[in-house]
Amino acid sequence: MTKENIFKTYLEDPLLIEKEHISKEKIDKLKFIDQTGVKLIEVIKLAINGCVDGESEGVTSRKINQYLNR
Amino acid sequence: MIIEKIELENFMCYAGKSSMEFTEGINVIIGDNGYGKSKLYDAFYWVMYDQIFVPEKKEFQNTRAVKSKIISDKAKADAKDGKISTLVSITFHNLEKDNVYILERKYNVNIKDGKIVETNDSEFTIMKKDLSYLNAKMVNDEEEKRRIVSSILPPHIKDYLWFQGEQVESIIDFNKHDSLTKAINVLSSITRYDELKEIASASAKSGNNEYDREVKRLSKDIGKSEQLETEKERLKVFIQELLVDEKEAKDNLSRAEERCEALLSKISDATKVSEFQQKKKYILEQLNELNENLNEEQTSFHRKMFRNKWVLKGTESLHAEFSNRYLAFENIKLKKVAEIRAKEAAEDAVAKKLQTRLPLDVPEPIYVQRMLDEQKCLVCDREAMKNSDAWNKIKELIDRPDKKVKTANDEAISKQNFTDDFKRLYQNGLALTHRIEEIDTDIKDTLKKINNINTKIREANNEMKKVEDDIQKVLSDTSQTVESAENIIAEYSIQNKYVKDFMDKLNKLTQQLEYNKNNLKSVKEQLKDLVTGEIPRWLIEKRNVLNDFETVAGTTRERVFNNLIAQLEKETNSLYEAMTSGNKSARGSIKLRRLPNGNYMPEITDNNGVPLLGSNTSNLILVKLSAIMAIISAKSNDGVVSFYTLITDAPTSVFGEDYTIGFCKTISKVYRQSIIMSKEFYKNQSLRTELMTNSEIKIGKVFMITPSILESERDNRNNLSTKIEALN
Amino acid sequence: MELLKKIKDREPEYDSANEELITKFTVVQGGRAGTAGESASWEQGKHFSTKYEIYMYAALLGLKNDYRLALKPSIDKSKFIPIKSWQPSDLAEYVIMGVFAKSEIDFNELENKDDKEVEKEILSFKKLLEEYANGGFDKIRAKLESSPTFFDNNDNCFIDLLDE
Repeated sequence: MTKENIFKTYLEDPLLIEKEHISKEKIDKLKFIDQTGVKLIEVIKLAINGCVDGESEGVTSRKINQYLNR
Repeated sequence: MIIEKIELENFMCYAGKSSMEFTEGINVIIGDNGYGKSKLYDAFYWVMYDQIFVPEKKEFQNTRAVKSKIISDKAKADAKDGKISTLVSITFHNLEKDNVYILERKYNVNIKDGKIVETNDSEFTIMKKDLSYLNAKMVNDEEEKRRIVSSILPPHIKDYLWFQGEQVESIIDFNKHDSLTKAINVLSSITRYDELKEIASASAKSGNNEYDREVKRLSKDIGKSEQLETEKERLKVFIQELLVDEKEAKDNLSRAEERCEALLSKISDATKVSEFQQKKKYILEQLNELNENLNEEQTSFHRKMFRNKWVLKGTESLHAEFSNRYLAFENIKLKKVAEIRAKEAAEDAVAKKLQTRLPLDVPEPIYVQRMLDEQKCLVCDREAMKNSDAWNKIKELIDRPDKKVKTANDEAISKQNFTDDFKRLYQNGLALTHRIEEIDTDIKDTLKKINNINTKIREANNEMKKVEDDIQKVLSDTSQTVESAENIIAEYSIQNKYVKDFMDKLNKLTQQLEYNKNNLKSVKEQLKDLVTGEIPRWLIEKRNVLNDFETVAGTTRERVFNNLIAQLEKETNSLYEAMTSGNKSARGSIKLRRLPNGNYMPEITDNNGVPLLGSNTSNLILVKLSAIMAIISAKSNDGVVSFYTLITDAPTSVFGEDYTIGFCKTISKVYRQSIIMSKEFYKNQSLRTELMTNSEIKIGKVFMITPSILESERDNRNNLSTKIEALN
Repeated sequence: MELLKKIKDREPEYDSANEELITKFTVVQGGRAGTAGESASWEQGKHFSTKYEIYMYAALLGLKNDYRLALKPSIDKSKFIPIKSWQPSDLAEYVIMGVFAKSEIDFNELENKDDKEVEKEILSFKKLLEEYANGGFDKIRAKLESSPTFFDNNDNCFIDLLDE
């Protein structure tokens, strides 16, 4: 599975729309490369990147933390 | 990749040199039990993995362990001093790229003075031809060798491509998390999602910790915070333990459910039992609902004692008594007030009267006093003897103001005024007495309600028992022998009881978990309440985002997994239906039913999704076989497995002759090449003919193997060799 | 509402001998996070959530049966929270009303007394309440003795007791 494939499966989760992180129209058009500014989605991307690239869990976790600390 | 040929030398029962060539399609090796089919399977396996299957131990063992047993007894017997070896070589041909790999494994021993001197390891060589007509070159790099073996038969799918018939049962265990995940993983990497879940959990945990630390830091009562923190930790640990227990209970429940269904499958009178099962399920649902209602009623019953004022039952007399006293009290008060008012009125009247005669202080009091003392009216100069009417009238003029002062004093009738208090008690009591009238009916109604529910529960339980009795009866009626019937019933009862027990346990654990989770929530709230000042916005957001991430990671994994299961189910179904299409007795489609512990159980169901019990064992094996094949075929776009060869030893013996042709048809369509060892075609001539002539079967090469000595006469194996005869 | 207010400030007492009885039927509060909810009370088999609840019940039982029992003159008595904190407050007031109904206090006379004397009356009022409650407790105890299983597995036991 490509990173984008995995990303798309996460975008299907109803919680994203339910908790109003992002609208349905935007989700349909979203590509992995797009910068969304939506924290949850960016975190998902960081995790997918780290996981597929073989990063250690600790490193990915730290990146996520740093992103959210801003 | 196609297997073009296999060459054996002194391998097990294949003394001397033998070889077989294969083509695309289904290649069949026919032989009776003990003729050497399994040893041929072993030959394939040995080359690739340096292992053979040892039937006595029911496991695979390395050459190191087996040693010279691999070498043909005849060869060992015939050998003079010197070296003897066994060798198997397989030629693989990649038809697209036209390159060829020859994999060869050899094991040598030395014979000295008639004794065998073992070496430890076998030798493994790979020869490669970049194009089939070129000369072969040796592959020397160990890494490259491993890569070639892997690409011919990738490790994560080898179990589903090269297997023995008796392994079919266990290759995929749908109720074992690891086995199921491994299979699903072949379809698509679910482990990625598991890894992402781990990342999400770890991040959420650290985010929550950071948040909690901040809450603690901002606490206005550190002592209390500490206390609550300890309690929080205790609850967390406890909840973890409960979760572990919960998982165990779910596993146990799933296993028991599975066992129950498996037992029920052993019955041929399927429809009746199935009906009863449905009924039982319905009754159970009802029971659950009733029990919930009962619980609700019973819990609120106690509260009604106070909320609905039931404690006041029969106490109206108290209010009556009080009312009397209160009213009497009020009456007396009113009377007093009336008296005073009357007195005042009377005095007022007098004062008024006096007022019409003369205004106040006219004449002035000293003069009036003089008139009284002299007993003479100074105005008309007439006698006014003391206490005569005239004298009294003069006296009235002085008395006026005094009287008024006196009545003013009388106004403060009493020291306290409790009217409001008693009034309130009276009115409160009045309001409540109205309620008292309704209490008896209220109680009666509630009791009646509870009674009704209890009756319904009793009835439902009775019905349940009756249904279970019916099931037992069917079980016993349709079993083959008394013994097996008793065994099935006994085991079914046991498993059934397990199911009930585990459900109860699970129920209890679920409640405990909820109770403790609520407590944890309350503790967290209290901690939050202790916070003075503001927790930074970004921290709150961070915590929320990470918790959402954790949730999403979990639900997405489930979603993806379930989709893959659906995919597998679909593919399994199409294979199963293809294999059973020629058979009238086998019907139904395959459903993968989700168990409480998140694993699955394969079932054969009818068109409405109701489980078809009474499916015999063959069908169930076919289901498993279909699933095993589906894993590989689902991955390819056209459902055809072109790159790997299916090799299976005696699959047909697990499901019998009836399905053999259906099986072969399907196999030949799904796999570009397959090699099947089978005994069904040995005895059954017509089956053999059909195999080789049926146009729907893409037939490859067919071989018949025959041993030189029959198994029954094999005390001395030193002359054992195997003849291979090509039938087409 | 001076009178009621003063009465409600009082904390009635009961014989410590009754403590065991009270605990048997009352949920003992931990005084911590999460006070006993309804289901917890039910599950523990307790009928009363608080001490004042069973006290009110006992008082009403005594009043209904006109059964007064003097408290032991010893110091061996226990107190709990003042009447003003009893819930529901209308029930508490009903109990007060009941005690007044049975008491010998002359309402009108009461109004003629000065503050100190009123205090004395309130004290004897409290004593009266305690005696009726004591009577109620005794009734419960007697029932427990004569039919120990009366209170077990019987949801309506306290209702039934009111009926007798």
